[in-house]
Amino acid sequence: MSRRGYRRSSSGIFGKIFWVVVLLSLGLYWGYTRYFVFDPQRILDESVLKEKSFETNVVEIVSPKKGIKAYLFEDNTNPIVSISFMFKDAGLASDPDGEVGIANMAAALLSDGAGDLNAQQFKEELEKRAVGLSFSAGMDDFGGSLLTTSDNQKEAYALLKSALTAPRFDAEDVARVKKQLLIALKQQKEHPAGVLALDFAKEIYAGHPYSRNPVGIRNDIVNITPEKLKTFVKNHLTRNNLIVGIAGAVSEERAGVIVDEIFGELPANGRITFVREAKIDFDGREKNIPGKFPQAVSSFVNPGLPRNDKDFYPLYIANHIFGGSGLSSRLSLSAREDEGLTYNIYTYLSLMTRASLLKGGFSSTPENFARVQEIIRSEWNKMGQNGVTRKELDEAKNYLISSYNLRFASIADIADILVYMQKDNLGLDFLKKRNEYVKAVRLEDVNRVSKKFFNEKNLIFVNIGNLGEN
Amino acid sequence: MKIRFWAYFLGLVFCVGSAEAKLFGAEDFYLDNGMQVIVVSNHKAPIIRQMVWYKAGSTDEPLGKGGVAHLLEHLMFRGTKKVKDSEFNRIVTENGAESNAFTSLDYTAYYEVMDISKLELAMLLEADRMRNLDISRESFEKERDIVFQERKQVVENNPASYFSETFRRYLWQEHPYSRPVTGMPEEIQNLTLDDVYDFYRRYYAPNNAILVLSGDIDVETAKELSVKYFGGLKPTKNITKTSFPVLDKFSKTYFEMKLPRINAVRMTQSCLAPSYNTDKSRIYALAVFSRYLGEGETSKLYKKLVVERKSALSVSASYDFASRSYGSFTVSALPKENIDADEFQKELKQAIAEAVAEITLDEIENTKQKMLAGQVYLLDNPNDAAYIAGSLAGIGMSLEDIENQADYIRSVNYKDVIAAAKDLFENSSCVLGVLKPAEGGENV
Repeated sequence: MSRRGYRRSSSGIFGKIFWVVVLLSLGLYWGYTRYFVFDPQRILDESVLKEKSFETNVVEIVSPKKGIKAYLFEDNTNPIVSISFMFKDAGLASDPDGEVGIANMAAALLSDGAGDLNAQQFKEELEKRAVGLSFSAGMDDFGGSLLTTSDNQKEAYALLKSALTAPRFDAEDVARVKKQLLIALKQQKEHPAGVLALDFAKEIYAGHPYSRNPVGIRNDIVNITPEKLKTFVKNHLTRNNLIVGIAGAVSEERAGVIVDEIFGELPANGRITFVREAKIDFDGREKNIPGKFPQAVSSFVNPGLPRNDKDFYPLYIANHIFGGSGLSSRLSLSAREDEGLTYNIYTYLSLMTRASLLKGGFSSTPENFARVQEIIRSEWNKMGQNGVTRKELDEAKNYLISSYNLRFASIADIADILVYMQKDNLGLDFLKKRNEYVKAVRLEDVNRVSKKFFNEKNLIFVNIGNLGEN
Repeated sequence: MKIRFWAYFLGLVFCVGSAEAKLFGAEDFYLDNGMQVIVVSNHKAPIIRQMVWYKAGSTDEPLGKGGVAHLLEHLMFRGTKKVKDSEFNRIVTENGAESNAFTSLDYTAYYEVMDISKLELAMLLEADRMRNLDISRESFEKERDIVFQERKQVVENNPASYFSETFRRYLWQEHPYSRPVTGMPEEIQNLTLDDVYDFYRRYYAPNNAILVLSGDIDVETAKELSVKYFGGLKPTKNITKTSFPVLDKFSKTYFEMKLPRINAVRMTQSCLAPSYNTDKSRIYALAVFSRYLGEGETSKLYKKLVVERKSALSVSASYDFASRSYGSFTVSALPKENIDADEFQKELKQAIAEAVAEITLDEIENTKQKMLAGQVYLLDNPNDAAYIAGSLAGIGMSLEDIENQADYIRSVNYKDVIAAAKDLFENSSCVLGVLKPAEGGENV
């Protein structure tokens, strides 16, 4: 009673107004922050859509007859099967001298007829059943992929088996593909970026097979015969260097049978030319290839790290922050967003089997060129000296972790991932553990590798364009 | 919970589209402000692609303002009243979303692909920039420089792109489809911030946009969330519909372009053709004809010119019926080295004529079977589904027509194909363009 009286008498009407004003202000402030101030975290906290657990079960199967190992990701959402495969070290770099381009040529010709079917009959079978079959020769490895509906899988596997074990290399098809490759060699040089790619490889990998033109060498291509192609297949496409990834509507048991069916009759092993490590002299040189184009184009390179190095993740994150994350990267923010000098500037980790590099590129009109280069050099120095901030690291990790599931959008992508997991020895549990690997990276790790790998004195530039006095 | 109830209540006024599962089994509905929402449910992985398609592209630019639609697309990443400067990029990236946009003749599209748990954030960001763009003069100037550099990089540094641009001018003449999406360099440099805002205010509105949600979401949740984030946006009254000139002057044009750095001859022939919007009744017959004539290595032209006569190293046909105005039908070839261009041109013409004459019931049924055999693949990747559904809806195709494409293809009769093919080559304007190396030889 007395307390009530005390309060009433001491605050009076002004006290009431005071409290009303305070409450009103708090209400207004709450409303303001709620509806007018943008708070991404609040949106996420209040979201009706929550994170879901996603099973990424990869199993290793061993085929019952020939004991071929493969990774399987079973997904029965749709009646589709995707098989990716790779013949390790059977790419362009291991093409024998005098036959440079043969891997590429074999890749173009393997779906041009096999067994009893000539090229047209073979392709007709593929199209009628909507079977996607393709082969490709990279610098390191020889790859391929098969996409089929469950309805047509039996025929699809038979076609792939036949392509691998009984390719025809009919003279007419070989002649046609040769002409296509020879004209591709010419078309490569129709734009400055194409010329630069070829010259860059020559400059960096001088004397090493990685300096080869990815299409091949003109005279070698001309002299390749069906016999040489058959020998190539026998020596390079074998069970010994085979990696297989299967994704889609396939059970474990069935997967083993399929692998035997397709790959069981490949030779157990063959003969592949050894490719040595690429030794690169990172001496900070700069080479300009003259030419008059609307824009000059540049490629630059520093040493990097292989995929299974213990410092791979720290360097991967450093690169992400520096030039790997698109528009939000340091390079893009400074050269593109702040100064409007270029449309596209980027860096990435180039992970070849025998050379691991940190590479980058940009193009700009000649009058902007020197300034962009200056930015790259100064950012490069800054990265080497100061590394990244805690905030940058956290944002990069958040991106890498949250975006991880995006790679499971298609069955074909998943099958490819299974192949790379095996190629790089990432382990059967990689898909489950990958985000842990990212989380474990510490600021001091990133800054330690940044210091080591972002060294502007090593940075090599190869440029093409009208660069005046440069 | 309140919001859920409210959304459920509003849901009663939705116009729900056909739920028959066909191409994607997608569903669509309209918000009260006129925005169409297309939902493609795909629960394979916990990811989703959000796309917002504005039914305005470079075709809608005022004369002399070439590139404004594309520059606006860039500026949409440069800040709103609430999400300042480049916060948009930072926020979507930090949340693991991949985001980008593209401008075409008929539409402009924005997308984010992300973990499902981040969708609401992306919806809020898209809804916000639909109405509240806030661009500083400095950002504007920088971005104008960037699109200028983009044009230099993508078009001008590549002589083959320069040829394509010239080709379009001959084909489309006074039609706005003749103009490049990037704008010409001098146009880009003269664009003002007012030009950009003018385009933005005119065309960026919920009643001129389509929201596509493709991925791990059900239709009910999609409804609830699209009402929550886009439902409150005010529509724009009387959005101007760009009118297209009637192209009825029957013409056959031939041109030849010699460019430095070009090392191999190419030949391209395009004819104006019906589109979904000019003559829906003929588009599926032409789509079947295109596949029969030149899509893939079992097509008629490939067999005749590459396999049998060996006068070409590659040849292909394509038919674009998904446009707001006329469509186009194109045949491109890479002749073998050292063949005379005139001679090849005759061979190409002859091969096309033979292919049309050889159309039979069996050939067409076989072609249709190939087109339909892989339909189930469309259910796999939610990104592809979003793109296909959005680009077709973006030119005005109804969801029913999108979903029923297989039926339309199935019902094509070989006689329709013959009639459509004849009409295409005999009664429409066509351009034949030849790209050649400049005098003085090649650059090797």
